[in-house]
Amino acid sequence: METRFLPAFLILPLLLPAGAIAETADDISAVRDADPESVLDPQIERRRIKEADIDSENFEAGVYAGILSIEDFGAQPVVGVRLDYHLSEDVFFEAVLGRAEAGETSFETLNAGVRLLNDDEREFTYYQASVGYNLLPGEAFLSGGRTFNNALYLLGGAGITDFAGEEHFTLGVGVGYRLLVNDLIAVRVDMKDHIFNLDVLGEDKTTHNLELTAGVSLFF
Amino acid sequence: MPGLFDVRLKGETHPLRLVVVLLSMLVLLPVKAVSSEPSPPLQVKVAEPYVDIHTGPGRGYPVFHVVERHAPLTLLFQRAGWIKVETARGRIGWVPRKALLSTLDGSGETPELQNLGHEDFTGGHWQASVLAGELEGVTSLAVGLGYRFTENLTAEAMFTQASGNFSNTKLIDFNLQHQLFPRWRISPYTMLGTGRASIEPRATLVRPENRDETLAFAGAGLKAYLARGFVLRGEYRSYVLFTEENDNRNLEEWKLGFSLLF
Repeated sequence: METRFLPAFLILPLLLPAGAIAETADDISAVRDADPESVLDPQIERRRIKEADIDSENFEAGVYAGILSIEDFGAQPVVGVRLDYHLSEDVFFEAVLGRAEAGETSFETLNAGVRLLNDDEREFTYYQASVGYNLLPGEAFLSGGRTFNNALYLLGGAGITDFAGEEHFTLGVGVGYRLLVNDLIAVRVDMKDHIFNLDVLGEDKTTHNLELTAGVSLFF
Repeated sequence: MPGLFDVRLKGETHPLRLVVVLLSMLVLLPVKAVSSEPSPPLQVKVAEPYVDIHTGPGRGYPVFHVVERHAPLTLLFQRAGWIKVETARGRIGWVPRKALLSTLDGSGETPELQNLGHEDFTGGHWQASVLAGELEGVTSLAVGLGYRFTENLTAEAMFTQASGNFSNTKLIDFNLQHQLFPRWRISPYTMLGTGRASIEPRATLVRPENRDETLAFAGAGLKAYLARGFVLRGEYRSYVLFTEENDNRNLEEWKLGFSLLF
C-alpha cells in the first residue's frame, strides 16, 4: 500500500512552490491527518467532549399552503406554519397553526341574501399538536449522482378549531411525504383530515375537512 | 411586593435579585451562547475494532463505509438520535448516537451521553408537553413548557383550554413540580401552582359575563419514561378560584399526555 503512495510523495515537491515546502510542523500533521484511517494515534485536540456539545438540529420549522375543503363551505386556500421536533429516526412531534376562510354553502348560494355566518365567523383557524411516525424512510435518486433522504410518515393528533364563532375540539389524522433537499431544507406534502363536530346547519354532525398542502421547512 | 422594589432601588446585590437574573438567563439558554464563536471541530477517535458509517440517519440506510480503530471522526451535527460524521478521508455519513460509546475524545475518555429521563441527571433540560383531559366534565387541551433545574425540580408554564357547551375556560398557570424518585422509570411527582382563569359563558346563556380570576392549585401525577426524551404523563389537579364574590370555587381536572425532553 505504501509503495502506491510513494510516487505521489516524490512528485509532490516538484509541484509545490518553494515556500510551501519550507513550512514545517503544521503541514506535516495535516498530511498525517489526511492519511488512510488505519494510521495510529491521530492528532485530535485534547479536550473533553459531551454529547451535549454536538450541534443538535432536531427542530424543523416551516410554512405551508394548500387547499382545505371545509365541509359544506367549499374548498378554500389555506396557509399555515409548523414546528416539529424530531425525537428519533421513527418518531417526531408537530405543532401547527393554520388559517383559511370558509366560502358559501350551497344553501347561501341558491338563496341570495341569506348569510349563515358573518365574516369573522367564516375565519377557519386551527391549532393542532400531532405525533408523527416515519413509516417508510429511504433514499430517493434524482440522477446517478444526486441522492435525497426522504420519508413517508403518518400523523395523528388533536387540537382546537376556531370556526363559526366557536372553538371545536378537533382530531387530525394525516399522511405526508418529506424530502430533504440538503441537511437544512425539507420539502413536504401533507394530506390531513380535520374531524370535529359542527352544528351550524341545524344538526350536530361530525365534519371531515380534508386538507392538501405543500410546504418548505428549515431544520435548526 | 414592596420589598422586591426596595431592593432594586437600592441597587444592592441581593439574593432575590440574583434569582431574577438567573431566571432571565434561563430563558436565554437555548440560544446557545457558545455557538456565536466558531468552535473547533469536535473530533473523537474510534476505540472499538470498527464503526459503521450509514448513508442516512436511520438503521435502514445502508452501511457504505467502515472506520477502523484509532481513526478520527469529526462530529458535524446531531439529528433525531443520529450524528453526521466526517472521516479523515472526507467521507460523510451517519452513525447512531450510541456509537459515541465506541469512541474516545481527546482526553482519552468516552464522550458523555446526555441523559434525558430517569438516568443520572446530567444537566438542566427543557420539557415541552401536550396534555388532553377533563376539566369539570369538559374536554380540555393543554400545552406547557418547562425547565428541569435539578434532578427533582421542574418549573413549568402551561396554557389550558376547555371548550364546553356552556362555557369556554382558559387557564394560564405557572407551577413547580417535584419528582419524588427521579431515577424511577415510572416517577411520581407533586405540583403546586398559581395562575389566571378566564371563563367565557356561551352567548346563549342568560348572563354572558366574562370572568377573569386568580387561581391556585395543587396536583399530583406520574411520569413514565417510555423512550429517550419521551415521557408519558398523567396528572390530577385541584384548583381553587378566588372569585370576587368571596366565594371560592373548586375545580378538578384530570390530564393525560406526553412530554418531550430536549
